[in-house]
Amino acid sequence: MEPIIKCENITHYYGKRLIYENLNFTVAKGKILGLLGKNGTGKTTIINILNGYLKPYSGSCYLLGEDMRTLSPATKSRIGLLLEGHVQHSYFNIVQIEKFYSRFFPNWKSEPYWELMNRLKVTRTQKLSTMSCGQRSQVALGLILAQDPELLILDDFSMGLDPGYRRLFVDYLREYVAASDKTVFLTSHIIQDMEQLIDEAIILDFGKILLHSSTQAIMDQFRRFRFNCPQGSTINATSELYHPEVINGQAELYSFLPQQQVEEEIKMQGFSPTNMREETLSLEDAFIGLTGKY
Amino acid sequence: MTKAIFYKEWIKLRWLLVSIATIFLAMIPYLVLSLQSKFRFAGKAHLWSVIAEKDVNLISQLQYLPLVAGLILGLFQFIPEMSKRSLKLTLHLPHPEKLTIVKMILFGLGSLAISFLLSGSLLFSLLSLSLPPTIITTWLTASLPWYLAGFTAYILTVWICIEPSWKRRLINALFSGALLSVFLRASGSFDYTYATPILLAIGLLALIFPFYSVFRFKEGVSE
Repeated sequence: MEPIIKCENITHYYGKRLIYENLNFTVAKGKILGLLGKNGTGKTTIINILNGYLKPYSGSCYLLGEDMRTLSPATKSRIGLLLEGHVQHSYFNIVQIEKFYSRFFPNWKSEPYWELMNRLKVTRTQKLSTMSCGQRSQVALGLILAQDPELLILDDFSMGLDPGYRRLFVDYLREYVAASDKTVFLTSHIIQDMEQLIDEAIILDFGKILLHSSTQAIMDQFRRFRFNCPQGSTINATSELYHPEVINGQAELYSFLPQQQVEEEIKMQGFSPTNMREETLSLEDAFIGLTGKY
Repeated sequence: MTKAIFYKEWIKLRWLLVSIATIFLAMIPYLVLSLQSKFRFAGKAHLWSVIAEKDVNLISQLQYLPLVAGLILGLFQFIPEMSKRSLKLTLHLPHPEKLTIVKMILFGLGSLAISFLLSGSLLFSLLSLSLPPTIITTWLTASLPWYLAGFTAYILTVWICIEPSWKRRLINALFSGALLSVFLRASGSFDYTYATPILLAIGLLALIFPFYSVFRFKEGVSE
């Protein structure tokens, strides 16, 4: 089956600074994919490339089988877009904005929009510009759900939201996606929210994709190992041992390998670890384990 | 979809459009009263001879008004689109992108045209109560470049607003200022009689400029 999103050999620079080189990934139908990365790794850049608002240095992306640079109106109607900061036309009130968008989308369903709006403590004549960030996020989400798109692209959906609104956003989105065969591509700087939502994660590092895997596989296989090692010893990072740190004979590292193999890898570096403990991780811990603290 | 785009622009601009129309309409009684007062003090015969011999245009106070209206309308229509780059939402609508921009610009030009036509017709009607049609027609013909400046100022403002780079915006603004000054250089009523079609052509040519800014916006051009 044709993937919903396909990016091939994306290379991009800002000035002389390389952002990515030969980035390739696909997103299959019905998946919720989270794009994770530290600040400056180019999450929003990918969203902009996908939406056709940034021409990459080289490479191309396809959304629903069409080149992102020349999306037809029919394909655009199948893609719901949430901009960073829940940007919407702020001069409208909630009645006007629904009236405006409903004229463009053939599958428009008002019910989910009004269901969300009825939860908000706003009047029907209140302009979006006078609403809080949380309230605006619900308006933006409601509009996307009413559009009933096949693909949702959400750029940093948790930005500016308090925990209550974040939870509301995630719950609504999860329920909506579960009830239909929608595909979601999203970014968020709060990885805690992603854990409850995403099937797959792409973890970006500076210039490349560090990992593209199912969330379940990351949670099941990626582990933190803590152990004692001789004073003054150091552990070198390898392709299997991520971000080792030694402080006063207490060592910590991350790996997809089982404990026994981790011990063998460390022995190859010239000493035996003692008192090794294997710890399961949250997605946020796994992210830090993969990308490092700095 | 055209109705929906016009609806959006109307909601965004309705108070500004009412204000522009009010200012234009309010200028007319002001001009007519000022003319009547001149008639009272100088006498009709003397004033007519001054108008005819010295080529005095008593509606020249209107000269910069269409330009300012075009500039303000362009700013109020497109600054919200560029604020937080919400133009992305407009261009993401399932409607051909260029056509969306064409319709937005048509709304702006149409609004200006309605204000200009309404105020122009009213002015013509009121002035014809006390002045011969030849003088009024001469004045209104002489004012055509001012109105063309209004339309062109609007188009150039749209071009500047959509341009994604501040440096290029500044260059565009300087160029626009120089171009618009050409529209307002005439000192006599007949100076631009033959230049008006050229000014119209400049205005029409300027219509291409906003689409170049949209192209640059879509390319993701930044500073």
